[in-house]
Amino acid sequence: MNTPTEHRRQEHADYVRQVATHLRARGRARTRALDDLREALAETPDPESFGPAATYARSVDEELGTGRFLSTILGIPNSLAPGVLDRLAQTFDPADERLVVPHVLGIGWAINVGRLAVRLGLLNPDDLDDEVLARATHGPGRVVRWATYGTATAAGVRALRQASPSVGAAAIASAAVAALAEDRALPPRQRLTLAATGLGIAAAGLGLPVRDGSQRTTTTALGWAIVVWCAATYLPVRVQINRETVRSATA
Amino acid sequence: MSPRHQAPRHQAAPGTPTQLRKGALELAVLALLSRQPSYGFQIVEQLGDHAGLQASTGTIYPLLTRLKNAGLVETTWHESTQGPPRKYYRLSPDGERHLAEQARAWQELVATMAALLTEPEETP
Repeated sequence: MNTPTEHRRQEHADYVRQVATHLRARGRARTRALDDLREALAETPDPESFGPAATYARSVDEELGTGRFLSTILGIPNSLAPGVLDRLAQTFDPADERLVVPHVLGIGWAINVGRLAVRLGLLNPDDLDDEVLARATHGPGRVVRWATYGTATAAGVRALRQASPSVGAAAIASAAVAALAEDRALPPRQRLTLAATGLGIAAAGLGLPVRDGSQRTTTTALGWAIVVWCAATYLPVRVQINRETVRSATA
Repeated sequence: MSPRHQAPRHQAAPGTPTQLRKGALELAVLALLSRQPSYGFQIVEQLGDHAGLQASTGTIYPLLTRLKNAGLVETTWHESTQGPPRKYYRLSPDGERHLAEQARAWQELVATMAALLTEPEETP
């Protein structure tokens, strides 16, 4: 049984972990910021007084000036800074009330597809706890990774047949991203969005135009990549939720 | 926006001491779950019916996650007539014991504070 002290300690550890996920500062500044937070938490019974973890991390980054020279240009987020995988994970977070989040890599914003799914009534904001995400990534998410390898192989064959460096690059990049998503040390949300990104790149590789007069345009290929990405993040989660529902009904 | 995710019926009462409310929120959620299993937004709505306990989804969902990670609540999934399946939270055996301990501590604190706040000031 959890004693109140153990419960509080676990709450504090969870809060520090959440802040660490959002914190962009690296190196000594990061270690010190998290140590300071642990000390501060030890003096308070309630982590909620520190506010949401993402907000706390943002205020620390602002105070430390993390990536200040790159963080915004005329008020527009510029994400050429550390934390690419964290920002990628933010693009599928139903619990995050923001519909637009800083772009994963580059200037501007990206859509939080998780929140969009909530707005469309396809998900509930609290559906994706750590347990469900981990199961979705290990189970249905594996199918996405296999699909990525298969699509990347098809794109590679197309690249060789049609001597297209751009299609070849997409095939190699998608396989590399899918391989990165195999890393079990990464948080499940990062693995899920990485695998979807790999499949999106592979799909774009299959659709990229290789010669003049091709019916398929780059715009269409990118459109397909986005559709595939959305499906490859949402469907594994939804399949897992359905599995959990069946499991609950038969328990 | 789905009606299930609209704002709670009541806004926080003006002047409600935020820290007091935050301290009581976890206990309030555990107490609600001891009555019946509920899904996240249902808990937000139920809290909204109690003056001084109104909370947003942004507060309650992370709180439920923490309670689950602490082993105080368990979750089960049920089909919904509206939208996707819903995750219902209920107290675990550890949660029931924790609630009993916290409720006892709360009652003692309330009695102590009531006595303290109603005692007449001693004249020098």
